[in-house]
This record gives sequence, structure tokens and C-alpha cells, in this order.
Amino acid sequence: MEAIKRTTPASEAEREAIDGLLGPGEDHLGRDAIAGHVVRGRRHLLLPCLHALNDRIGWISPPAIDYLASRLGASPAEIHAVASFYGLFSLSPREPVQRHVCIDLACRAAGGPTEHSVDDGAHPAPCLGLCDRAPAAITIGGHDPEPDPGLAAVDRANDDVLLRRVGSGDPVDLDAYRADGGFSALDRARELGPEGIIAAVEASGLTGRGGAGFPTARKWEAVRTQPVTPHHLICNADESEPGTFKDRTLIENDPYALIESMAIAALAIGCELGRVYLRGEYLRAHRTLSTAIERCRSAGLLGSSAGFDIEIIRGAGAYICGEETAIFNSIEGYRGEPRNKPPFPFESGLFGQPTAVNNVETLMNVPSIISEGRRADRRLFCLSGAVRRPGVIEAPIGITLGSLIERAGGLPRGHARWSCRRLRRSGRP
Amino acid sequence: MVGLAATFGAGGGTSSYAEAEAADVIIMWGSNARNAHPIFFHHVLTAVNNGARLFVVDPRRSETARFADRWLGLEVGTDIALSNTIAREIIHAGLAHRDFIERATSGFEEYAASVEEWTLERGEAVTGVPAEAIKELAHAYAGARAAQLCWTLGITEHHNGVDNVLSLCNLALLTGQVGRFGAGLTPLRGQNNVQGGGDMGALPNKLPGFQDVTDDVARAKFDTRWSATVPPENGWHLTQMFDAMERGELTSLLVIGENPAQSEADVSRAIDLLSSRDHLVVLDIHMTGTAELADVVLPGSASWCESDGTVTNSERRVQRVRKAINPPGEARDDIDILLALAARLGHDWNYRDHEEIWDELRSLSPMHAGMPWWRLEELGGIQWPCYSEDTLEPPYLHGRLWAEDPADRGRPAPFAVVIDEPPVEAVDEEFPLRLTTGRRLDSYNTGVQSGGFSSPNRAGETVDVSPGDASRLGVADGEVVRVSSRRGAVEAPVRIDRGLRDGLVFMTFHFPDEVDVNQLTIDAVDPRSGTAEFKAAAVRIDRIAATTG
Amino acid sequence: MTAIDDTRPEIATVEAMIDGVTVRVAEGTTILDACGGRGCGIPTLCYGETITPRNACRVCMVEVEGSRTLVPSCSRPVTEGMVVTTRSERIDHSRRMVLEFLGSSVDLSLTDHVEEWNAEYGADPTRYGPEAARVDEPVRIDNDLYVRDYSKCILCYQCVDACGEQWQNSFVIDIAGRGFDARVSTEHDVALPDSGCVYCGNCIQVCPTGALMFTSEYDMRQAGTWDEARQTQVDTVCGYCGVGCNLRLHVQDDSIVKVTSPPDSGITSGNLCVKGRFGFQHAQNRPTAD
Repeated sequence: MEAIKRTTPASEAEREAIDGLLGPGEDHLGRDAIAGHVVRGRRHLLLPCLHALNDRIGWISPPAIDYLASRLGASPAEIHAVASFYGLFSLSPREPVQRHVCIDLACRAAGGPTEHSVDDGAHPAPCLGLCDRAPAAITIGGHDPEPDPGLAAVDRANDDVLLRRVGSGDPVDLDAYRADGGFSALDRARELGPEGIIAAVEASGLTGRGGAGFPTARKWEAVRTQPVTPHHLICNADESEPGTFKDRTLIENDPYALIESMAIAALAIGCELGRVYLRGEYLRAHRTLSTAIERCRSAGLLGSSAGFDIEIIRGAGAYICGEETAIFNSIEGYRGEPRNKPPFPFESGLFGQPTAVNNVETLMNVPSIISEGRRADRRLFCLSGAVRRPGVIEAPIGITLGSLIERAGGLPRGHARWSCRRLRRSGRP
Repeated sequence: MVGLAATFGAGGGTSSYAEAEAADVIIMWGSNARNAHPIFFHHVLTAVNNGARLFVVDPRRSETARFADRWLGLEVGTDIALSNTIAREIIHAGLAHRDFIERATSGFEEYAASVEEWTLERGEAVTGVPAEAIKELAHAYAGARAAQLCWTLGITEHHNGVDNVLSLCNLALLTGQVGRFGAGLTPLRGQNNVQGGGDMGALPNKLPGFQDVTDDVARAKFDTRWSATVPPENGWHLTQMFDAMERGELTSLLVIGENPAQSEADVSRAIDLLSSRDHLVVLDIHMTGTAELADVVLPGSASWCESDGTVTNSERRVQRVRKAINPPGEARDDIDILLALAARLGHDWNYRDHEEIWDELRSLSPMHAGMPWWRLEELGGIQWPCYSEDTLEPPYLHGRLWAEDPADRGRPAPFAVVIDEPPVEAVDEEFPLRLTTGRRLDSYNTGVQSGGFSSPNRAGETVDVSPGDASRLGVADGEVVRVSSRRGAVEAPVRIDRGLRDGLVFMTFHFPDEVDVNQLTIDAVDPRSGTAEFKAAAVRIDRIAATTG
Repeated sequence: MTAIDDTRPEIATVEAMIDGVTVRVAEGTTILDACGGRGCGIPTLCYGETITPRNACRVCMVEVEGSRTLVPSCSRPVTEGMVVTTRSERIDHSRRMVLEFLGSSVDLSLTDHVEEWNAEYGADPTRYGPEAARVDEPVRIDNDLYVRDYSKCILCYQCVDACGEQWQNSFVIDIAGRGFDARVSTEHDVALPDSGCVYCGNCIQVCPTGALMFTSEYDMRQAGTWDEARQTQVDTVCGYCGVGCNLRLHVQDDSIVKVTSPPDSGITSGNLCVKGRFGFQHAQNRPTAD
């Protein structure tokens, strides 16, 4: 990369935000300056650095980009290209605290604004994954999210597996999780070993809940047997499909179950550092999961003594980053554009190394499969819009739409009562 | 080339560009290839992007150093101190390639003894490079699967340039990093056909194909072919020519495509000597500073686009140049001019075309024998040596050193004991700054060719100083200052360069008509190569306001 | 102790069937190369000999038996037993759509072969109406050496890759923005002289649509004097430093009008530096007796 001609330095606050992640800047003219691979090898810290700038300053200025470029051995054009890819970042001046107002379907149905009718100073946002409390808005930057119940499950059923702990107390209470049988599946997984875990998952019939429905055991086995190391595990929590909020609900209400699930998956594929790629707008989930990870580290359940750790990567407002190869680019510090397949992630994924990417809901099936030998025959459904009790419902695969709507309390008063049966009878699609 | 020839018997880089891509450690020593040899550096970057480690040894944190895993910012002129320290570290760490040394080299014991005093601590004290960095380079080079050691004028443009080259050859011998695919020594030639000039015998002591002038058998071959007697004594190299002019022994000159009135170190002396010749003829494509002094100027052709022939590049590849356009006005093909000159001097040199001249060369130079034009076309150039029309040699030289059979191995490559010597001109109170010179990307030598296009990045001559020196001198970016040495003074605007350490200033020689930097440089020459110490002069910088006011 | 053998191991080969014909190619060969590379009949836009394909344009799609979707022939390697079809109703439909999408939004008038492909696939780039054209893209003239006309840009990434890791490693341009707003851009869209651009022109050489153009060519086109039918191309060697880069001189009326480098040169792979690319003028700026 070439020398930068601009000479305006980054502000002290900008440099602090970046140095906080990269450490203090090097002595430029030490007689033995280190650059090259070591410096360029920190490129994966670009996205966190951009977040740090955006959270603290509100936007990403040209001098900040120049400084970041020099710290990462990259060019300003590259940094600019990445920053301009993400919806949550601004390249023009604005206040540190920003309000993002949802203009998507569920919120519009609940009286939310359109792209052109949002308040001055607020950003029109695609679905924020808060459809259960439409119309929704969030504030990002400068402060912690407002405390609120964080509950999005409705019609809890006694036989719920995935939602079992939702609403049952303080989600980050580690003792309560352990008292409830938490981490016993991980203990069992250690006894089973990688092949035993994969056999159990195979027997359960678990398939990917992200959309493609690929058998999870086959994916893990493919990664496990790759000779190249290290092996990576990524939990895809970039839930961005309009109208979905189940992964957020799980993370906000049962973070330890996700940690335990990832620990088991890591055992199966031979991975020492798992990553959660979490949607940038999910601030509450971020806080909850961070706290849970911290407490697990303190308890020796994560970290070097446990042989496994988890890191959260915050997305930054890019729908495409839910695609698994786009996640790799995003984590590595590049524009979150999908890669060609082949090569497939199991052989060449994150950093070109073998990688398993699993969706949150997929992983959350794992503990009960390991500890109870359950079949993976239940799924989560997000109901929002014209239902009385919007939220997440757990139900067996094969449930009818009508039953789901009934469980969400049916349609509100005043809405046309189109039941599935009547739709069928009338011959409409 | 003198150093390489002394060690290995052939004055050429040992590797080809593509081999740089196969290396896992690359050292650019005294070479800002990113600017001076950008397309060679592409090959280096390919290796770097594939994981190779890059070390850059240069007093300046240059554009090349931006890509380095480690920059070793040595003091100007301490190259031998650094290489000897590296050598000692390699020996003491048990990383020397004992088998190779034993079977393919000579003089190791004396060499090892000579570097013994160069502990890491002493190396650090003399070169300024932290011991840890020296150690890292030493271990990386010795431990590499295949290492490339590349250099340019930062090594050769010193009064002891040949020793500098020998000291790098020593490192390759010590570690066996030569004579294998991917491992080798790559000097990058500054000018497009300087290698080809050497190939063709444009050296004072060589006939075409690097055959010695003093070799009676070789000379006889040429005598027969040319029906003339080649003088049996070595001629003069450029610097010796100037000395001969001074002594009055050289009175007439034909200068072809060279601009010594602007490119020589201590250029005032060069101009005086050129101006006082009996007869000066210049064959050039531009009215250069030298041409201005000439009695007769013969307008020639731009060889790369107005004539047919061959050139040889830094990887010893002979390639065809082809005529694309006609020379303008009365300008003529250089060969036509030479033949016409010969005719005026009473010699009837008759050639059907340029190709026939090449074929004559092939008949006299065994290393070019296998390179008819049709084959150069077909293969996109051929590297020497190429002895026959149906074979190709390996892309690297000196594979013989690894041969099992001692007979195939040939003459062992000698280690050379080289002594660290500081630059001729030390900095002192009067001239406290070290001036080193070099090139920028978008300009070339004295600017005769590169001045023909408008580069948005070209800002004319500047004197580059470190931020610390700028503030100490109280000069601002862009301020015109006076730079003086014991030989002369020039004025140039300051450019503050964060890649410079305090005490080091940098200038180019691209804009001699505006700022004649070679007024400052020192005419201290390595007698063996004839190359002057362009890389180290002592200068001072004065504010113009302060000196006039 | 022996010399390290530099002869490479025999390259493994794979056998596949393309349009009913059995072919055997080296492992790693792409479908496009197995078909004969550029000009083999499969249309290509974003494909260049010297850049690893990004398959951004999707005009070279072919059918592979067992694959749910069409696959880009420029970047999919042939595998053992692969059965490939390069022309079918489905493929033609896809190519027609791509040509119409690109042709409706971008000026492809200087892109080789597009007219013949439009005819061959029955593509009508006007069918989306004038609104589909990318609006307000002034030609950027911010230096004396080359111009940028992004109304011709198909975002093929070749210039970005040539400037970046694949060749020049300057990383001066990249794709900025997303979706409809995506553009090739310097940081903050600063003018080239304010960017780190070193004017190697390696981006110009790989641009398939004429969005990047030498000023010499641009000026002649504006003046109506650019005439490729009257041009010859002569390969020679650069007269600057000692690397010996291969130049391809484009000559019209006894005058060099632009300089490229042969893509198959082992020295340059089609790349040059600013001196080789633009430094030819000095030969033509010489004073003559008259």
C-alpha cells in the first residue's frame, strides 16, 4: 500500500478508540520496525475498530480512516470500502447516539413510519428483529441499552425444549443455570468424545435451521476430519430476515445454553475458539451474552483452562452477512460479500481454514440431544403483525399455520377472520 | 558484477524473477525496488502474499520497507558490519551449512575468524540496528527453505561497493542459499541494458560473453573473426577515463547514450574535463547536458522503439527489442551511425541487417550461441548461458556447486574476508548531515526520458529531511534551503519525510537542470568497479533567510 | 547433499464431458479454460487472463449436471466426471438477462463483442427504458495520464484486484458503498492526485469496458482521430530500469498512441510501472532540424 498524502491527524479520541483495541501505536522509526505480516495479520480487528469509532465518535472520519489504515497495514481506500459497506456506520459527521426506527413489515402494520416519515435525526432501518414489540426503534452508541424484559416467547408449553428456560428467571444467573442441569450435556459430551457427539447428533436427525437444512452431523464430521488446523466454529446470529427474532430471543433469555451448545460443537469438530457473529442491532443480546461469557470465564468454563473460548463479533447492519461465506469476509475485516463455493467452508472457511457455521437455533438443539438423546423434531416460529400475542412459539415440525396463529392468541379484534381452513375452501393460494 | 564474478566466476544475478516467488525469505538490501524496480517487486510481493518473510535493509524506511516484516535501518555505509555480524550469528547458532561449505567453497576458516569480532552487540553499536533484529534476519536467512538476497545501488554505490557485494556473497555461501531453485543472489540493474552492455563486452576488461581481454585464446578468436588485433591490455572504466583526461592521456571521446556531465559524482570536475577535450562526439537521442558540450552531436535512435536488436535484463534474459516507429527528422539508427563512422575511418563493415550482427556475436560468445532471433521470439527471451539451439540451462546459475561429483562441481567458490570501512567522508560539525541519493518512482536517472511525461506525483527535486531535523533546523515543509557539501551547494525545497531518521537526508539526481545534486556527491570510487560513492556525502542545510540575512 | 530438483511433479489430470465431448485437462483448469478460454464462444465480460476471476458479471454461466444452479465457467474448476453443457435454453435465457441488465444500466459501447452477443442471445438492452441507465456519472479527468468514466463500469473488480493484492499492491481503489450505490472509488472518492495512486495504469489494462482509458486514447476519441484499424502493435522491451519489462506499443500513423504489456509475459504478466506505461513520450518529443 502507498503512503498517505493527507496530514490531518486523527483526534485523540479517535486514536484512543483504535488503540484501545490495537494497543499503542508503534515507534515509526525504531531501527527495526515491524510491519508486514504481523501488522496486516490484525485485519480481523478492523470491524471492531470501526465499531469503537462509531460508538464513541458517532461517525468514521477521514483522519480516523487514515490512522486505522496505518495501524493495520492497509490502505485508506480499503478501510473506506469496508466502512461504507455497513449500514450502521456513518462516513459523515453525526452525533454519537443514533436512533434507528424500523420501517419494515411488522412495524409498519403496527403503525410505524415509512422511510420518508421517520422523525428528523432518526435513521430508517430495515427489520430490527423486534417485531414482537412493534413498532420498534433502537438507540445505538454512547450508552448501554435500556433495561427491559427481553422476553419474546409466548404460549410457553410444558414440553418446550428450546424455549424451556425463557422467562424463568435471571438469564445470566450461572448458578441457576447449573442448578437446572446446565453444563451436564457438556460433561456427557466429554465422555462421548468427538465421534460420539457426532453419532448422537446424527441419530437425532438435526439439520441446519438457517434455511438450507444441511445435516449438522455431516457438516461437523467434514470439519473434524480436515487435516488443516485450526478448525473454526461460527455461530451465525446475524438474524436479519424480516419478521424473525427467535435467535435474539434465545440469546437474550438463555445465553448459557448457547455457550454450552458451542462448547459441545467445538469438542466435536476440534476447535478452541468459537465465534458468535451477532447482528449489530442486537445490543441487548450482545450485553447478555457478553456477561454470560465473562461469568463462564470466571468459573473456568471458558478460557484457556477450559480449552475453549468464545468471542462475539458484532455485525454492523448488512443483511448479506447472514450468508455463511459473507460472514467469513466480514470477520476477516473485508467487505461482507459472499465468496465462491466451492471451496466449501468445511475445507476453506474463515481465514481459509476448516470452518463449521451453525445457526443459533441449530446449536440450541444440541444439549438435549446429547444429554437426553432427543430427536431434533421441534422448531421455533416467529409470529408478529396481526396476532394478539406476537412472539416465538416452539412446536413440532409439521404444525399448521392455523394452530400457530391460534397459539398466538388468534387475530386481534377487527381483523378479517381468515383461517387457513377458510382460505383452503375459498381456493385462494 | 565484479564481486559476483570474483565469487562465482560469472557476473550476473544467479536467479530468475519467477524464483523470487518460490522463496520463503527475501532480503532487499540497499534496494528500494518498490520504486526503482516495480515489476520485479511484483514477484517479491507475490511471494510475500503467499507467506514469504521480507526483510528490508536500508538507511531509509523506504516505500519497499512498507511491505517488510522487518526493516533494518542501518547507518549509511555499515553494510559490511551488518553482514559480518549476521555471519557470526549464523556460525555461532550452528546454522551454517557445513556440507555446502566443505564441498563447494574455500576460505571458510579465515572468513569465520574475520567475522568473529562481530558480536551482535558490536554489530548493533556500529550499524545502529538492534541486535534482536540482526539475529532474526540471520536465523530467517539461514533457516529458509529458499532465500533470495537482492540488492541494488545501495550496495554498489560506495567506495567499497565490491566488498559490499562480496560480503553478501559470503552470506549465501555460508548458508547454501545459492545454486538452487528459489535460492540465490539477485543484483537489480539500474539501467535497462547495463547487463546487455556487459554481455556485449562493453567493459574495460571483457570481450563479448565475459571473455577476458587478457585471455590469449579468446582474443585470438576475435582477431580472426574481425581480421584485426584486439589490444591485449584492459581498458579504462569511466572513472579511470576521467582520471586519464586529467592526466591528458585521453583527448577525444565518443559518448553514446550516457550523460556524464550530469550523472557523475562531483559533476563540476566532470564538466571541466569534458569541456577541455580535443574532440567530443555525443551520440544521443536528446540534447543532454553532455551533448551541449560536444563538438559533434549525432542524433541516434531510441533503441527500444526505433530499432531492432536485443537487450539483457537483470535475470540475464536476452530479449528482442523491435522497431515500431521511425526516428524523427535526421536521426538515424545507432548501428547505421556506427557503420558510417567505421566507413569514414576506413573500415568497410558490411552487414545485411541487425540480425547478422547478432549472429556474429553468437559465433564468438558461447553463452549466447543458442539464441538465434527466431528462438528468442519463440521463447519470449532466453536467459544466458545458452550454449546450443536445442537446449536450455536451468533458470538459476551455479547449480554445479551442489553436484555430487567434485569434477562437476568445478572451482570452489571462495569466501572473501571483507573489512568494515566507513564512508570516505565522515559527518562532522561543519557538515553534520549524511546525504544519500536515490530514485523516485516516476523519474529516471537524470530525467532525460522521464521528463517527457507529466506525472501527477512528481514534485521536482526536494531535500528530504526527518521531522526531527526539520524542527531542529527550523525549516518548514516546502521551504527552499541551501544544501552544501565540501564540493558545492544547491538550493532545493524541504520535504519532511517520516521515513528518515535524524541525521539522514535524501535527494535524487532526476532534475539536474534545476537542482544539480551531483554538485554535492563525492567522487570517491571503488577502483575495482569504477562506481562512485553516491550514497554517502556529508552536507549541511542552511536556511536561506538566515544565510543571506 | 544433492541439488534440489526443480522439475515439478507431473500435474494430475481430470476427465470431463463438455457438450458431449470428452476432455482431459490438468487439475484446477476452469471450465472456461477447458473450453478454450476467452473467445471460445462462451461470452465473458469480467474475465481477464491476468486476474483471478471473481465471476461478478455472470455472463459465462454454464450448466453442470447435478448442480441446482448455473455455475460460472470462468472460475469453476473442472472435476473428474463433470458433465458440462455450454448452450441450452436455460443458459441462453440467463445470458440474455445479464446482457440486458448490464446493457440497460451501463454504457457498453466500447466493450468488445457485446453487440454480437446481444444479437446472438436476442438481448434488448433498451427494454428497461431510459430510466434504467445509471445517472449522473461525469467523466473524471483529474490527472494528465488517464480518465475514469464510471458510466461504463460493470463493477467487475478487475481494476480493484490489479491495484490490490493480485498485482500492484497499492490498494488505492476499492468498491465503496453497497447495492445500487456500489462504485469503484478511492477513499472518500478523492481525486487521484490526492490518493496514493502511482499511475502504473495496470487497472486500465484490465478494464474490459473502457471505463478506464489512457488520456492519449480519450483525447483522440474525442477528436475523432482514434482508429484501431490503422494501428499496429509491436512488442519490445522497456527502456528504463534493468528489469526488462515487455511493452506492447500501439502505433498509429508512425506515433505511439498507447502502451500495454503482453498478458502472457513471464516478467510483467501484463503489468508495468508509470515509466513503462506512460514514459514513452520522450521518444516523440525530440526536436528535429526542421
